Amino acid sequence: MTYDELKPRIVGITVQSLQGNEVRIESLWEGRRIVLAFLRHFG
Amino acid sequence: MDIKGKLDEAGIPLVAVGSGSPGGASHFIEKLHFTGEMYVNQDLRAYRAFKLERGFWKTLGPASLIRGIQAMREGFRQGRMDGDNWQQGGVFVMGPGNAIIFQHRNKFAGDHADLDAVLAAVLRDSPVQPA
Repeated sequence: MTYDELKPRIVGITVQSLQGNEVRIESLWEGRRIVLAFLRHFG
Repeated sequence: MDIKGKLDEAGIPLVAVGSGSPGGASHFIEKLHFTGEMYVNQDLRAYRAFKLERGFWKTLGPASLIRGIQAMREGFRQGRMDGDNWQQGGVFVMGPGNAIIFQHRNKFAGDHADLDAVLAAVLRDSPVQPA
């Protein structure tokens, strides 16, 4: 998947911090490179 | 040095997203001494956006069962689960900005990304290289 294909798919998508704040997912890599790991589940 | 150490040396954050609750995430962090950033996405919209696999056979199919048996032989034991049992994960190297540098979607439970490939992608064109 290219970023152009991903971009419309993540519009409006947020994740929740452990403090309960909603964070736009694309903000996670704004201005920085990250390793983004989607986990199956905890435990 | 493990991959987290190499990421830290290169100044690359490890950001995890889980399908469980914030409480489950906190327990995970404590139990595994996870030092990256942690978020949760209980409605799985982020997982779907990244086209991550989900389904019964992805979790309990033959390939997953074989990997599960191997993990148990190595001492891994499944604890109380918090999150979606059928959702698979994946690893992406993103950014800065509009870029996907690496992507791996687990085809089934236990189908993990090649960490050497992840690290190579992370360091590609990076101004900071670990020792």
